Amino acid sequence: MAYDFIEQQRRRWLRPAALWLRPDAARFLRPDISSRNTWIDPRWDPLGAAEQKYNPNQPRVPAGNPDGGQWTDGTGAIVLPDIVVSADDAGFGDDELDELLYVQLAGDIPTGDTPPEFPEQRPPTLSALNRVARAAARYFKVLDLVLGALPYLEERQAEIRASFDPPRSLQELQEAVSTPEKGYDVHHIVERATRNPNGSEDAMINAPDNLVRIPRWKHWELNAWYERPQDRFSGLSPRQYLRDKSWDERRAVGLEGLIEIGVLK
Amino acid sequence: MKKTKKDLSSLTEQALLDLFVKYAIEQDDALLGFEVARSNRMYWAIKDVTNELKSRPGDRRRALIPFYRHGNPQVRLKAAEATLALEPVAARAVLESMRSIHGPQRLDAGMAIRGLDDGSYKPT
Repeated sequence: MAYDFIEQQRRRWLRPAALWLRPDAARFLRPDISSRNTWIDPRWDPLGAAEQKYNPNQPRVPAGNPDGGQWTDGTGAIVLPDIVVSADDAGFGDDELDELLYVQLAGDIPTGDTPPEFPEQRPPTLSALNRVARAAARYFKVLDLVLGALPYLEERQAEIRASFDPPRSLQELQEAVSTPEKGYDVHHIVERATRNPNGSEDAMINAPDNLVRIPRWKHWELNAWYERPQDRFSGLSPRQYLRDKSWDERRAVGLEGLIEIGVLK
Repeated sequence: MKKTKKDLSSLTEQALLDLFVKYAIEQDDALLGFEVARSNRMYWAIKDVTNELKSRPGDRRRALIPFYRHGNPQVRLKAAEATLALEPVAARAVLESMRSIHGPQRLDAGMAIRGLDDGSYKPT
């Protein structure tokens, strides 16, 4: 129960607040404005808004009508007062209330992932261990939280730590090739698997310009991506699609992949 | 076990949606474990379900749109990819939201967006 509550609060507070807005936000005074100034944006001016709201000449529904006496805009529609809903009144939890009171702005898609189930004991296979470690990394998002989540993840500490590296320049990644380190692999920007089978590209494939040292998980992920069918390539894998493409085109895709996976600045 | 195309045509829409989610979650599991063969099998299984929905009157891939808010990121990603032709703005926003996550969906989403931007990816 306590965990559920903490998890709910974590999700609420981690939500990108800047992308949520009350529909009636204009009624609230911006906190950095202490007095009414002439430069104030009228949308942030609550007193102005209130003044604009009251109009003694606003028509009312005529007497004898079931809604007689209520404000109307003259078209027959009844103008309802603003309703303030509290969590207790509505019978909703905080999250549901947020859904009622806030509108979501374009571009904000919830990323509140369902918490994964983590086994208490170390999974028996390496593949299963990787799954747990990577699910923890994706869910907790913060290195120390991941490392502290499960004792047996210690075994994958180098890979986990490396996967949280910030993006680096191409020069930094190339220079690091000469310094092997646990949790990292040497990666070919233009894949070896796409080299010309006649051997004409072998020297370029293994040249320092084509080699970068990147976190092992990112390396494996890129390799897996090259083997995965893609809608973009009509169901072909990038490796199949790129096989007959020019060196420059393959290198461009290789660099884009490094950027998108968060390795290259 | 993957359903054949004949099996899929006899399923209700809800059953197809259930299969979509099941396959996408299995694909996520495979991706996390770097299991390429299992992940690729699920790609085609999801494709078959999506094509079946597309073939139904009114293009019922639209029924995948609620999965933009699913709790599993691979379900969100696959729902967005499957509906890019129908809801290009909203589906792209889902992909954009995955561009910075710490997981396997990041690369797929980012590369798909690059393909959309350079015109090499034309969703149908």
